[in-house]
Amino acid sequence: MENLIIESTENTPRIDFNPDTGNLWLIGESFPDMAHEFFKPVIQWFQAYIASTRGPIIVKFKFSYFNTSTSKYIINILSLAEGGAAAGRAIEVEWHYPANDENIKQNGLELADGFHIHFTTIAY
Amino acid sequence: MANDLLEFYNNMEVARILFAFKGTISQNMLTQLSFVLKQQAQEEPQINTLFGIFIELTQNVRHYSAEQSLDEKGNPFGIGVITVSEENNVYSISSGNAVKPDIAMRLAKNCEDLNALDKSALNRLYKQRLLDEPPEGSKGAGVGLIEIARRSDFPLKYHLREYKEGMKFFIINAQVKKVADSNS
Repeated sequence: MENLIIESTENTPRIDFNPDTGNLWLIGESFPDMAHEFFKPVIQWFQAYIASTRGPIIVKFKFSYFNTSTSKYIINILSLAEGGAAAGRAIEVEWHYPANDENIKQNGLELADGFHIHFTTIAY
Repeated sequence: MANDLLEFYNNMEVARILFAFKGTISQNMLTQLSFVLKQQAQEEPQINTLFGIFIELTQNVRHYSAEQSLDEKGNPFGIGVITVSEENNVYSISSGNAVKPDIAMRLAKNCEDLNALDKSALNRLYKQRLLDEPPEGSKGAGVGLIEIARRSDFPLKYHLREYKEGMKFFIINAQVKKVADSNS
């Protein structure tokens, strides 16, 4: 599969999905106007990657801010990760948060709560 | 208007308006406004909370105002007003826009229902709504209001005013304490 690279804008995060290492980064601020238009290719790539490859995957969220419509796609990604893990794939999710922002850490824990996935929070 | 500008200025001063915008909320304008707000409040420890409420309120006006204009790409988008002001120890964020009467009644009920819930119930409802609603096709308004309620330090305030052409003017106000409560 090809790398998925989407450069950041003022209201969308940088997407850096590397099929060779399995490191899938989402970095920055996320409040897209039409969230489904922005995240559709991201979700499709992730689905295809889980379906067509076998190596370990680490999804790395590193948001400094995200809005509610972005939250839905975070849930979507966590749900796909859970499905992959249930099928035996090695999938981890890292939630990188600003060391001075406990809210973002808590938001991540809330979103991941209830999903059967390997989820860790990491301060930066 | 030029004559009245001092009065307008003084009113804003009295109301301690830090930030005000009235007009079409195009995507470009939303991005620019959020940039300005961040510049003005960058020293504020609660900036992320303030910013989060601001974005949700502004996106509500953009997507749901009954008064519309065309944005820079020729798409219809909402007209409204959004303000951030200081009141003693809180920041107060308000939005106002035209809505049809039935929508106004539903929004008012939504606010009342959310105000009846405590923080942990709001957090559970937020998560449940994210799980229930398929992302496709939804602009996220219902969850947006829950997000505003759970980030606010006080109950949501709303006001319904008569507006032109049988419409209502719906105002929502959310408040954030200036310094984070160490117990929260």
